[in-house]
Amino acid sequence: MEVSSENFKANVETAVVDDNLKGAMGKLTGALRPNRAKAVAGLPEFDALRDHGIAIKMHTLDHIDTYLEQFEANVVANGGHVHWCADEDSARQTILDLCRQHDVKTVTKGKSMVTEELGLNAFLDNHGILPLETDLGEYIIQLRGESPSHIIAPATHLQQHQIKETFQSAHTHLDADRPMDTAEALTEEARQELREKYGAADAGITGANFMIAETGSTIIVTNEGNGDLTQTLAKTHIVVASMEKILPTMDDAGVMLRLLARSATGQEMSVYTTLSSGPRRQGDLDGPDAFHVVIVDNGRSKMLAGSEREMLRCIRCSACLNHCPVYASIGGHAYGWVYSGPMGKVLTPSLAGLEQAKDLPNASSFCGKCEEVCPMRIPLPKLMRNLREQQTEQKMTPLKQRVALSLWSALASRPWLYRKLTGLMTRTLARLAGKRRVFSWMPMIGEWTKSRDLVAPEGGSFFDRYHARTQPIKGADHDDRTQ
Amino acid sequence: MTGRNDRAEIFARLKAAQDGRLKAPHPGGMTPPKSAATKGKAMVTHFINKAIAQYATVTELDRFADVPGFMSDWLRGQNLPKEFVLAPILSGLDWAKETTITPRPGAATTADTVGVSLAYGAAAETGTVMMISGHHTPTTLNFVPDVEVIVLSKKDISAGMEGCWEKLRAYKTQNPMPRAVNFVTGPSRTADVEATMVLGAHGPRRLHIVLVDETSPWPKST
Ligand code: SF4
Repeated sequence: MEVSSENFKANVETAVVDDNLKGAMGKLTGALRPNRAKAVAGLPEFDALRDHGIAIKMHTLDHIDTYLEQFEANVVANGGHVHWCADEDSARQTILDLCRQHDVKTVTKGKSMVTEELGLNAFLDNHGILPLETDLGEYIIQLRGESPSHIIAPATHLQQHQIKETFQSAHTHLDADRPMDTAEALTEEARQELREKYGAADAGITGANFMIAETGSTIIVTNEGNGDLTQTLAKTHIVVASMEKILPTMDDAGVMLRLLARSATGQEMSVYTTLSSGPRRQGDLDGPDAFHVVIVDNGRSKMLAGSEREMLRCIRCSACLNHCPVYASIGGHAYGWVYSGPMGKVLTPSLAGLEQAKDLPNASSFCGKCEEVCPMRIPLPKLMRNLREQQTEQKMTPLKQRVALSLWSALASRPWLYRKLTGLMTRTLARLAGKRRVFSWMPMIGEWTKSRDLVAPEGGSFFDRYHARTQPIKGADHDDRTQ
Repeated sequence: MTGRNDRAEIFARLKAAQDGRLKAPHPGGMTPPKSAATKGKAMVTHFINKAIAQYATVTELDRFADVPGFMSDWLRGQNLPKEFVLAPILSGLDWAKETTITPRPGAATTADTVGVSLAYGAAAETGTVMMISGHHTPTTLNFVPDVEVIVLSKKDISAGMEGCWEKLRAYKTQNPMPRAVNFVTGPSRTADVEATMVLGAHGPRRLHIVLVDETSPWPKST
């Protein structure tokens, strides 16, 4: 999908005044935050489990080539095929070629973030293949022509009345006066609309939450059952998976599954966890005739070699989004790409390039909540700061900001000069401020002083005052607040 | 040939990224959390409680031979159609004596309202059943009918997922890996409309688990 993260600032301004968005986001965080807290409290071993999961991921990333090879060999032994794609062009073309090879005209899709990353739907559509999203949230946003605003709850930016309107204009063959005012009615309507579509599709495309090297299996985790209908009823099953989803063994998957659902929705286990290992076997009464796994790099091997390596531990649980105050107030679309929230702030510049996502790593309150709830303890604030530093190094930040920062760093590394200058500045400012002791305008920070006054410094710099105070004052309690 | 083949390029990059790195060891397996009951009656009770918490309903029977009679009563009691699709592995039970119901062994279609299948394992920790694909137990039974009935032997319940993996590994020594392994925890649901939970999204609206004391009729070679 096209990246519009360079418009981040403008996107935020639109988002913060959107009342529908505000209402919808409140409901999401209101539901998911307490759910996770409850699930974590219910498992005393949760922290040990996190450490175990992290150790598995670190080991796997260190041996990722070996495990991917083992996975490939087992998929082939199971009767499936593996395709390797270095970038998004290659991945899209490979999937299109597979569709042509199997004479595919219509495709049903399970929810998959990597196919969003590839902009696969638009591409297939342009080449005469009709993709139909079957996850309820994805179905809704496909009808609206939108991208997902959350990695596991793609339509979370919408309120019920908006979904009702979408269905009213899309399902014109239904009675105009049908009841549509509950979540139940809307869910049922989508169920009926999609029911016959799974079996009629020539191919089912799903993502993968994990891949298991030991058995050559891909895993999807869902609550709705649409992903399983998609992959069981279509003639061909194509799995699209980014390469860091690989895990060595089934037991490793068990550890990750325990972390995933609890961190995501607060469930102990999602409703459906399915291992797919090849096409239908001899004698089987159902299942696809062909099984393909398209493994996508698209920037991951670069991350593996770089400073964003830790981000490859991400299991896409969405806990960091659900607990982020910035995400909660601006929603997912403002981030300009398919990944949003704290994980998106690191992933988008890492995968799409820093140039495309200049403001993203900067837009953080650095409150640290994301790292705290991340089951993989990914140091998201640190990674954002790294990306910021890279921006400055690569001269991507505005000139004014760079000059100011380099001046400050030159000063900060020369304490004597720093003290001299700040002392001089403080005294000068104090004198310039006059009797009111405030500035109603300042060069460089005009925007700031437009609506407030800047209080002039008094009584010298911190160091001046510190030195004055190092002679203990008899009877004083050494509390600066008493001054 | 499909697309470009980027295999060599990708592996060269992966290997280069690993060069000179100290490699982390594998942390080994793990035991199921202590919070789950791990043995005997307590484990079965734990399974039942967890399954019910996930909106499944549960019946306990002594023998597999009791399943046809139960189905006959249950379908009538729930006001469900008397025709249903049945996993072929259960067609050996004496269905003929239940004259009011008509099981159809095979895979499920969208015309089927009720499906009945047999689980291969279960995890008490989360109230999850493990289904495997194959001609004995077609996968469509788990997803297509509105009402899913799963028969499970209490002897096939493990404390956590680890026990399920063990069972799968044992199965794999005699058979190829099943095409699909489905872990099912309650009926299908969604929260995509304003984070409100609704049961019956695309998969089954209801899940009924029939727990049987006896050993399950899985053939020895499986
Ligand atoms: S960064 Fe961590 S919290 Fe965020 S989605 Fe990934 S694993 Fe979950």
